[in-house]
Amino acid sequence: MVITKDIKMADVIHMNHFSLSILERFGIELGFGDKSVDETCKIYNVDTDFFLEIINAFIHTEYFPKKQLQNFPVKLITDYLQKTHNYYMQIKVPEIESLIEEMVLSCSTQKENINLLKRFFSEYKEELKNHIQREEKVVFPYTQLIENAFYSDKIDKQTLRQMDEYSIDIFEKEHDNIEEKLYDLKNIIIKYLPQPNNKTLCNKLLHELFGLEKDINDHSRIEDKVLVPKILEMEKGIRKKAGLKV
Amino acid sequence: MLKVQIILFDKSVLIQHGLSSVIEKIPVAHTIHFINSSDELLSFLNTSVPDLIISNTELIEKKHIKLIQEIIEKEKIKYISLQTDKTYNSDSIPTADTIELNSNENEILEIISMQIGSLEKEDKSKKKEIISTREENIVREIAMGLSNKEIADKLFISQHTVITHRKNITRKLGIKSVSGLTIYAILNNLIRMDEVE
Repeated sequence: MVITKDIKMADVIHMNHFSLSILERFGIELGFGDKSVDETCKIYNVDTDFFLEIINAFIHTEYFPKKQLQNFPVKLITDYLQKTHNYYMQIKVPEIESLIEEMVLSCSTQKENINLLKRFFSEYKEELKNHIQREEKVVFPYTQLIENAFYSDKIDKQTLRQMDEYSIDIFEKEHDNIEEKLYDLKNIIIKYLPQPNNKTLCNKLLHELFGLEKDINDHSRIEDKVLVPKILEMEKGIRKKAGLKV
Repeated sequence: MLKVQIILFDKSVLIQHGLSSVIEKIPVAHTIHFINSSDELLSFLNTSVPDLIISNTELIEKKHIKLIQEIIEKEKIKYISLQTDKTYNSDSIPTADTIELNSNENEILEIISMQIGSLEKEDKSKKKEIISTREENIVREIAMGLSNKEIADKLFISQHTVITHRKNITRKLGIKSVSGLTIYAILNNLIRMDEVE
């Protein structure tokens, strides 16, 4: 079911509790009573249409009215992406780390193996961190530059030069699969790790990994299907305006 | 391999828990089933097959001995007898080994590990691992940090063949990254932890 602005916010959570993390990113707090999505968004100063697109894209992987999402300002999209970055690095990753740490401490039979997982995950964390830094330092500022240029009347040489140096299709190419290692880690636990004595913790960890993987997939989808096409389109527009070949 | 199913049969809670805490130290995935009576042991054996029984033979009732012995022989279950009295010896149940009550921890560990170890060997020969021996060798080299080219040179095959092997390995195992494959290699004893890096 596609979520619309008149649905109760509470029902959105009932429908898919993973959407809690999205609400958190928009700064929307629980306790909305019977208020609709629209009413709740207004209270928290959130663009309702943007919220709807994001939450629907998150809940239904096949739902992607790209055109509509592409109409939103770049800043709105990158702000959201940046918030998901913070959510990964400040909440999810530390949560998973402490779960693994707890497993190491409480495990009597598999300490060495769990330590392997720990090392693997810390490698992953580094990778994720680099990935995020690159996006925030290089990609996001570039998208803003392109948008500004696109809406200004004059295209300066500076912008064109930067477009020559870096263009969004470079990002598209180098945008590696950051979920790959999570997938490996899940499979190692599910298929190959001899079950440690603390199974509850192990299941909790798996649950968290599945959650993070879904979230990161969704995140990459917004980048690849919304941000990249939008910028590509604008790059073309700028070249046209500057009288260059497209 | 699947988890080792272990039955611990003794009336004494102290013995059951003492033994199980020793077994916990063996780094093999296992489940321990505590059993308190001869009847219970028989009904357990009628419904499922454990890999290892550690039991106080004296507690098995005479009327059950024959049946239990048959099951153990038929299913090739390892049987470790728990003995309070050295002179007692049951000649009806084939014992793989004996644990005496005054044994120290290391002796007990050794006896149980040996039995579990022999289980693992049988298990390996029974069903071949999911990836072939050739693929195992390649996983080993990947885990050691070798590049496709280095692996090709070392194993006298073309790089193209190495890539094909890698694709198959990834498909079979569901693991793509080098560090993921390294963990797989360690968990499956293809390499030792200290060989990495």
